[in-house]
Amino acid sequence: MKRRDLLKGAASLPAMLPVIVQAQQNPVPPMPTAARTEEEPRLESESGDATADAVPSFFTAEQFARLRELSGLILPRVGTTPGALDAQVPEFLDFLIGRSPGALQKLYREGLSRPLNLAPLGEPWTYEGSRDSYARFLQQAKHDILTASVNSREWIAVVHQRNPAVTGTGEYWLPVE
Amino acid sequence: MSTPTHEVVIIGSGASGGMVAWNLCQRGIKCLMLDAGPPLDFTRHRVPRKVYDLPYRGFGRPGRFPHVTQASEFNANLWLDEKQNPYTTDPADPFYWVRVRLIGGKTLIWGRACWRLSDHEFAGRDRDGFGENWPIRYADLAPYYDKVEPLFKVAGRNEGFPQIPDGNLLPDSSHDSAAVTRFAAACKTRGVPVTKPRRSTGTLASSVNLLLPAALKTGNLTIVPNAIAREVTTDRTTGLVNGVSFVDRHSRRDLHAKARFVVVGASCLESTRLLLNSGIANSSGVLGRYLFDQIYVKNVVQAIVPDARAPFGGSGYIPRFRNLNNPKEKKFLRGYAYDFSSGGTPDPKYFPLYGEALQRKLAQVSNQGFSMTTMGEVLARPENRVSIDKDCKDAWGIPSLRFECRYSDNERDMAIDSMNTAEELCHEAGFQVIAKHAHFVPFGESIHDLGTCRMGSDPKTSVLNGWNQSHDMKNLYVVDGSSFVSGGAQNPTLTILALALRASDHLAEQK
Repeated sequence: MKRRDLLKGAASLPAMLPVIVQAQQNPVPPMPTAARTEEEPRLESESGDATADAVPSFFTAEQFARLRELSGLILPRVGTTPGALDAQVPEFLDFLIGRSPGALQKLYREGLSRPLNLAPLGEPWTYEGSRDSYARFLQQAKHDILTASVNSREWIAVVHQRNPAVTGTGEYWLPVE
Repeated sequence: MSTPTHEVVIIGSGASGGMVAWNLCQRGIKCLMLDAGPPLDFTRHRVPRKVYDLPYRGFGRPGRFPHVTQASEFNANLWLDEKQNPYTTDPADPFYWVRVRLIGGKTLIWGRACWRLSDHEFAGRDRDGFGENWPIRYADLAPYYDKVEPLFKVAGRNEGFPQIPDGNLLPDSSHDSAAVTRFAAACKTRGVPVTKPRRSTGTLASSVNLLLPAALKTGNLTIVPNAIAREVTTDRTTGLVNGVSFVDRHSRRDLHAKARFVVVGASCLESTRLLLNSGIANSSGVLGRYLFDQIYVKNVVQAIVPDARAPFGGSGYIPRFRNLNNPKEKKFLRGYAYDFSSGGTPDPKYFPLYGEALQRKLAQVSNQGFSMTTMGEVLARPENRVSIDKDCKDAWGIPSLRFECRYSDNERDMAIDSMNTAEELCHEAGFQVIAKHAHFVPFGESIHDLGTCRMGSDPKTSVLNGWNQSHDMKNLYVVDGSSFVSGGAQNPTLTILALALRASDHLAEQK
């Protein structure tokens, strides 16, 4: 399925999902009058991410191709549940790792410069992690690919249709002056 | 025209500062409260957002909070910016200094667990010979715990465990899941105490809704936000404190508020930093020393409840059970507690799988998770300390702290014992342990930093007396967790509230 088709699925959801807002301590400001809303309208908008393709720039073409392959293996599409590739995870991780501290960038770049071998992911979990940097890279990538997938627009749209309680909505705190 | 001298200037608006204002203002005493941060507006600052619409898809901006593991991309703007507020450590011995600078302080985000300390802590030295006793006993603080618990709507169960004395609690009649019942039965078989969590309830359980409104209503409280205290000033003639110099966070303008009494409740380490920068309250030389917190071994065991049935979920608490009746039962001193919770799906990292096999496994163990976290007492040692690093200043030019602290074999041995015991309890309950470890989080990460302005009977070995009052300057009180002599394994906020209430009663009688 192409990303556009998944987004169509999401678009069939109600435009405004119910959002639970906790009881507020501060008095609620008076409702704006109809005339005022008209003069000072709140315009609907959409994020760039939902409407345009990412432009990968951090990994080399070879590394990026390997990241795509790895993402598809860690979280493949199963039935109608989107996989990491549907969720644009390689494109997102190119952006995220490209902004990350040097040690993480190094782990990814070196890991993606070697032929894929997922055997170390079959080793039992330990708190210390493996001594082998390639195994550590795979564990990190597994975590990042899964997290980026389940937090994606595509994943949440599909899971929401099965379980309306899943909306991906949280209480975001704006910067406080 | 000069501004008048304030009766009381309170530095900090969190648990301790808020509690002092709540008490003094209702007793008719006028207070000026300075806080380094702004007020939150719950209507204006909090908005619903989709995780995929956040710039980093929920990962948070990389590198923004190297020492605040609690920060998420949703709440990142509530935590103190580390670049504007740096500090130094030996790279080999990191300290995670977690701060919130907002009206209400960390009570806006705290975990709400409310356990009383007991004479196992207040008179710990009498039991095992380590460290110092507090200058007060449980009986001194009990009446204040009695007042604070209803104020914070603490719910839980009174079980008669002497190490976590019964409280003035709202009833907790929540039902246990089958998994929790099974685990509790296994604990009883092993002679390990177990109870339900004891927590402050309500939509918000903060100084900003439970303490400050009542103080403001009296007309006796003035709150000044964005006021970063630089120095507690002294009258050289009297040898007493006479006010507080502060800098406005936005304009960086220096101001000075005159005061008859100064109450410092800026959090353990910020209060200590302020006193060190002021060059006061340290005739003992122990100001900044005896830093301790609690070791946290997160998910010390992760288990699966093989035949878990709905209703799932439920959680509980195991209070300290080691070295209680026999203080030398183990090769380590003191003890630890556990939080445990059931339900949910364990983190995928625990399964050596990927792809469809991983998804099948996660579906199979859905709702079957069970995990425990260790919280252990850290011994107060003089060598664990903070001092002023003159070369490390915050964005307002105020010198910051240098940390020198590390855990000892006592904490390591305790963590290992807690891992092995947790595994035994899980096996006793018939749970399948899929992962275990005994690695505690870095010093500071528990956000239970305590002890650097310790109270004591002897002015030569302590900063404060048993009323949280400076031995050196009688019109200076330090009311936060820095006053602790020891901390047990219990979350400290309830005790901080009780101490602050007691200290402010004492202050009111001095006037």
